[in-house]
Amino acid sequence: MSGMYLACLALSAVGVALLDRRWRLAAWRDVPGAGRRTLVLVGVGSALLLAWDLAAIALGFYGRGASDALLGVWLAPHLPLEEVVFVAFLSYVTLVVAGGVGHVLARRVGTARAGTGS
Amino acid sequence: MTYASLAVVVVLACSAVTAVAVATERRRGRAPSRLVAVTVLTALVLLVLTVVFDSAMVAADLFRYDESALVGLRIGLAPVEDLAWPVATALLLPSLAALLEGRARVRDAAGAPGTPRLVDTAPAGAARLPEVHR
Repeated sequence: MSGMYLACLALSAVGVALLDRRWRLAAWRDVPGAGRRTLVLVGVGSALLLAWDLAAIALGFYGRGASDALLGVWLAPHLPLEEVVFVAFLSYVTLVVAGGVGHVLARRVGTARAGTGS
Repeated sequence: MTYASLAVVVVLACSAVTAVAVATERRRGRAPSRLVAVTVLTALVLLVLTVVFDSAMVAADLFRYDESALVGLRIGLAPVEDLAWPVATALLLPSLAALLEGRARVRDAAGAPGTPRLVDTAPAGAARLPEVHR
């Protein structure tokens, strides 16, 4: 179905954002400027991944498939609109996972400290 | 050039950012080993997600590869080269975040002369004080 891929990406992004907000992992972290910094980082990550995409497409490593889940809007030859959303999503997921890992590590360190009784 | 060599170039560039961030992390008052652990564990989590979802995307025929440009090894349906994507973002983004955050904290400290340098925000014994004004 047309637009299915974009819908899946949007739904996934909302889910990740809810995790981010609930556990304060990236954009909702308890540090000044966390939201703006997350936006900047997603922008930088997206720019890198899009450049990688354009290079790979120009060199002929991959190209469009025949899926009817795509909207059919092409920003460049073989580059669907959805790819921009995907690279932003991958960048954001990376930051949220890193925030989650940091959260777990901090808790483990805290537990270990408490356990030593020092 | 193959897709694999392009991936190696990008991953190397991103690891340079990680190297800089790890090397300067102590200056920002945090343990470098924490950033290394975050980077490695983030990459592992993203690798698992990539194998699952890249396979689904290939199965859905969202894109097709030129088989002659691939190494040929696949994990699920994901070409091994695609695994460089999560490795690159895991190397780049948490490190860049650490660098940006450090700057923000240094700027805050510099903007308020005479105030204790981040002393009240650092848990006792967690790390030595950041060397803000060297």
